[in-house]
Amino acid sequence: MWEWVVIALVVILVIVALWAITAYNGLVRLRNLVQEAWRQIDVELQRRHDLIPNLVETVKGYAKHERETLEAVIQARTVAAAPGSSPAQQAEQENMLTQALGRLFALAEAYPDLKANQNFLQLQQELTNTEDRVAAGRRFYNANVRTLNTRIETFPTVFIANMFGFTREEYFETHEAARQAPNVQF
Amino acid sequence: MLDPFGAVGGLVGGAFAIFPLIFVGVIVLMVVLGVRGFLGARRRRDAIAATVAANHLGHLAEDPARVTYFSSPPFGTGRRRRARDIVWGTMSGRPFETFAYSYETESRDSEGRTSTTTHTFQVTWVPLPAPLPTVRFTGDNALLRALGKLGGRDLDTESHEFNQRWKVWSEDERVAHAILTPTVIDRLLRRDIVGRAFVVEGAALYSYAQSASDLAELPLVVGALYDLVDAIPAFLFEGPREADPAS
Repeated sequence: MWEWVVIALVVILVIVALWAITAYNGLVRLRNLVQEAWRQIDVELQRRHDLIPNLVETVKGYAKHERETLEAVIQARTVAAAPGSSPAQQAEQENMLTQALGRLFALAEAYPDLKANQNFLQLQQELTNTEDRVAAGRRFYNANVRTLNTRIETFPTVFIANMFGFTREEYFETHEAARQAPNVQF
Repeated sequence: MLDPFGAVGGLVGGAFAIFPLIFVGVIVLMVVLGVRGFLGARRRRDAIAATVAANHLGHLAEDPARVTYFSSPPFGTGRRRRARDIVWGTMSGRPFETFAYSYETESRDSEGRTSTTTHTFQVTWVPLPAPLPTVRFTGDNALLRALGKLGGRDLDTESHEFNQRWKVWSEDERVAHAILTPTVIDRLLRRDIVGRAFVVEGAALYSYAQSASDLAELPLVVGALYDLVDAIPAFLFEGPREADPAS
């Protein structure tokens, strides 16, 4: 009789151990995916920050008197490029930079020569492309953060998460707007 | 005197008498359905011919090669696959192609009788600037959703409404999230494309809906396809950056 009880206990322990290993490996895999997704965003943000000095120099050549706008962009870029920020802080800094860049591009509307400058157009295009890459990376990163955070907080993986010190990851929330599409006819 | 056996006999006789009526009724129903199907098909062919003539489009009655154009659902399943009424041309200067795609499936009931079902879809596709991994967007149609579920796992976005209305399966989740820009999500949430599925496969984006169309909705479908193509970020077609250390 006792033999069967011992066998049953061993079987239960093996099942629990297998589940714990699977749950732990799943959390590690998700955490690594989140970290890898963040590194990809970081590369694109770096690229964005690298483009800005050239952009400012180009605009300066046509709009010297707009010192305040140009300095605001440089200041926002310096803050955003400083290392050591968490995803939430980085998002806030990037939003500030986006606003400053918005003012810079609005200013460019008043300078037709600047708007026609090939270097300016190329930089603008490259910046848009980089921002699209950041936005795509952000969606992938946030989706994985959402999955990881849900696993960490839900039963029964919450036990494994607490036992091995898995913590919630921060979202990277930046402003992203929809663009309008034209109509198509024969 | 009552004759119960006579009454039963009369009832049995009446029941047998009704069989020829049922038989005739079934024949009439089959003829009506056949004529209706024939007239419907002729109306559809006439409507297609009118659209083709009015818009200077190309037309081919049938092409077996088209059934292997794509491998995602509804393609690659069933037998006797056919691609009929292939129509191609340009709309607002941009190319498209559409055709009626059908295949047959067999099912067996508990008594071992087999029945054949023909599944028909209208497939419309437009080219993409470069090939992408397969991404399938399956809407609120149960059959299309069942077809879309073949392989892959559903993907969640930040839009609750989108997650409710669409299921997304992809070979590469990174690419699927990149495609799902706010503009793409907005477009897929518009009511004019209810009952359709969209698939990115290779260098094409196609849409399919149940039953063959008379092309009356072609401008809407091609318009929706190009709305989506235009909203896909350009960098996806460029591939990874050369100096990108993380790719």
